[in-house]
Amino acid sequence: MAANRKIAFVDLDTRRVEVTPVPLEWRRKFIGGRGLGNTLACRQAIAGCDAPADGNPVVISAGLLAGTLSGPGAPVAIIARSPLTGFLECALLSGLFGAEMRWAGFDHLVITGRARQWVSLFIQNGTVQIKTAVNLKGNGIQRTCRLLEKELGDGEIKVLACGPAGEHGVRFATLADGAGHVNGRTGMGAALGAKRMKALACRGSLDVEIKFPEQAVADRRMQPAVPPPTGGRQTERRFLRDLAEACRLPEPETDIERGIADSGMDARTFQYTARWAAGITGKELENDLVQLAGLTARAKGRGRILAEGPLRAAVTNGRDELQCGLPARRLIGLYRETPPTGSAAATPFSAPKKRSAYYRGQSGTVPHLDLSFRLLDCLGDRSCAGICPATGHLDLERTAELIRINTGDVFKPRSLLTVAYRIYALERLYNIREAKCARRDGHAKFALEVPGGLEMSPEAWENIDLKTFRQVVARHYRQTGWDRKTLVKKKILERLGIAELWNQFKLK
Amino acid sequence: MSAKVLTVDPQKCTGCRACEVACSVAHAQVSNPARSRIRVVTWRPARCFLPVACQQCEDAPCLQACPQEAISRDEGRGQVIIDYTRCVGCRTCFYACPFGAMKFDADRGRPFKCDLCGGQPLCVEICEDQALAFKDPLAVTYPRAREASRIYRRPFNRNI
Repeated sequence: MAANRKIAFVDLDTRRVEVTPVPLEWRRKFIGGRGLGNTLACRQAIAGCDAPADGNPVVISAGLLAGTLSGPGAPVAIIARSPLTGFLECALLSGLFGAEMRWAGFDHLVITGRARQWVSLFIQNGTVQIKTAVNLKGNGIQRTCRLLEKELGDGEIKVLACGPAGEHGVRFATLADGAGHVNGRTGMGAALGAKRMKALACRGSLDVEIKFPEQAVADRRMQPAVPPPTGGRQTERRFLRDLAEACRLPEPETDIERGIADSGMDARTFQYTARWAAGITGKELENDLVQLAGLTARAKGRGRILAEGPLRAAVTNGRDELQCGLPARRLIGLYRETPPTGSAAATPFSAPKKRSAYYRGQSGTVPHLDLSFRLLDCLGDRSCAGICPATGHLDLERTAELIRINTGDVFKPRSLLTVAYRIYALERLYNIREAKCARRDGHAKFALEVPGGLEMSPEAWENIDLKTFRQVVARHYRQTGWDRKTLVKKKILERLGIAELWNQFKLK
Repeated sequence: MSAKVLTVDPQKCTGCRACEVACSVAHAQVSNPARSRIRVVTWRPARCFLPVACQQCEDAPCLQACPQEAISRDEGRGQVIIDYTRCVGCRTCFYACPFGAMKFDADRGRPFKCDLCGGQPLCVEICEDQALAFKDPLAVTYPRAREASRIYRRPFNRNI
C-alpha cells in the first residue's frame, strides 16, 4: 500500500499544524475519503458540542483514487457535524481540489478550534500555512477565489471558499471552488465559517505513487467512454432556472445567481425555506426573492429566521423535534424493495448472492446501494470506473482491482462491503450519541412524522401501508445488526474490528 | 501525406486533467501533473480550459536556441525531438519555448517535452470528451472550411 499519505491536523486556536502519516490499520479499515474522514471526525469531535461550535471538527478528505487514472477528478469529501441537520454528514465537492490536495502532500485535513481573526489556509508541497484573510471577509465565493489567486500569484491554484452565508452562520451555507463546483446540502460552509476560516487554497507538485502504472494505463485504455457526470455549475444553473420558473421571476440568471450562488447558500434549501416562508405568511415572494436571499445570506431582518433552515424554522413554529435516521426517501425505497429492472435482473451481479450478514440479494437492494455509495465515497471514484454498466451497481471485484492497481493493497470484494458497513455503523453510533434518540425508533418516527419534509414530496407517501412499513424497518434493523432500540450491538462492532468505539459512543 | 498533428478543442475540454495524469503515469510512473508533457490551463476570460502541449513547431524556437544542437526535427514524423546524449541541461530551450510546453526535470537535470507517445498519444486515447485529437492536418481544416461555407452560402439560401 502506498505509504506516503498524510493527515494534517490544523488547530486554529493555537495556529499549530501537526502532520502525521495515515496509520495503515485505518487505511485497511476505512480506506479513505468518507470512511477515513468519518473516523477522524468522530475521534476529534467533542461529545454533545453544537454543530457551529469550536468542538466540531471539519474534515476535508480526498478519496483513495483521487489524482489517479481511475478517478482524476474524484470529489473531495467534507465531513462534519452538520449545522443544518445536527448529524454527521458528508458533503461531496466535485472538481480537482481532492486531487490537488494529494499532489500537495496531504490526503486528509482536520480543522479544529476557532481563529481569532478570519484566516485562510494555503497548502503547498507538504506545508500548511495559516494566512490572515481579513481582507477576504464579506466577499462572494468567486471574488474570494480570484483575490486569493492574485494574492498567491498563481492562477492554477485550487480554492475552496465559503461566501457571506458561511460567515454569518446560515445553516445551509455551502462551500464552492473557483471553477463553480458547489457541495451539496448539509451546511458545511457554516461549519467552516464558524471556525473563522474563509478559504482553503491548494497547489502541489508532489508525486502520488501508482503501484502498477502499466496496468493502470492499460485499464484506463480498456474503459468505455463514459460521458462526464453533469454536476456542479451546470446542475446549479439548471436548478436556478427551474427555481426562477417556479417563482416566475423576470430576470433569473442575473439577480438570483448573484443573490444565492455567490453568497454561498444552497439554492435548493433556500427554495424550501422561501416556500415555507411564503406558506406561513401567505405572501407571494415573486418581487422580493432577491432581497430575501440577500437578507438570508447575511442573517439580517426577515432573513434571520430563514437562515436557520426550513426545518429549524418550522420547529420554532411548533413542529415536533425531528429524529435522526435514514433519509425518508431511502426508507421508502426500502419499503418498496424495488428490484433492479431490465438487464439488471438478468445480469449476474458481482457481489455475493448467498446470504450474509450485510447483503440480502435482490430484496435488499436499497441497503446494499446504501453501502455501495459509502464505498464509492471512500474511493472518490466519480469516473464510474467501479460501476457495473449493466446494473448500475458498484462492481466490487472491479473496485478491489482498481485499489490493487493504484495502491497495491489487496482487498477481497466481500471485505469491501464490510468496510462500507463499518462506516455505516460508525455514522450511526455518532448520530445516536449526538441525537440521544436511541430509545425511540428514530427511523420510523422520522419517516412517518415528517411527510413533506426536506427530502419528500407528499405524493411519495401515497399507498403506503404503515404496518408493513414498520415490519420492513424492523427487518432492516435485524439485517444490519441493530437491536430494537436501533443501537448497533457490541458483538457486531467486535466483528467489524471497531470494538474500541463502543465505550466512546455508548449511550449513557 | 503530411504527418498527423495533435489538435485541441477548448470548447470540449472540461478541465478534468485526465490527460495530465495519464501522461505522467505513462512517462514517469507516478501521478503528478508537474511531470506531465501536456498541461491544462484555465482560460479564465472565456471560462474554458485549454490543453497545451508541444506544438512541434516548423521553425521551433527551442531548436534554434539550443547551443548544443541537441534538438532536431524529424520531418518524416513531424516531430521535434531531443537528443539526450548531447543535452547538457542548460534550460535554454525551457526559456525559449513560447508555449511553456518544454518542461524541466530537476531530478534528472534535463528537459522533457511531448513525444506524441511514438505516434499513439495516450492523452488522445483517454480523453472522454474528445477534446484532443491526433489527425491529419487536412482533417482539421476541412470541417472548418465546411462550416465557413455555410456562412458564405447564407445570403443565397436562407434555409440552410
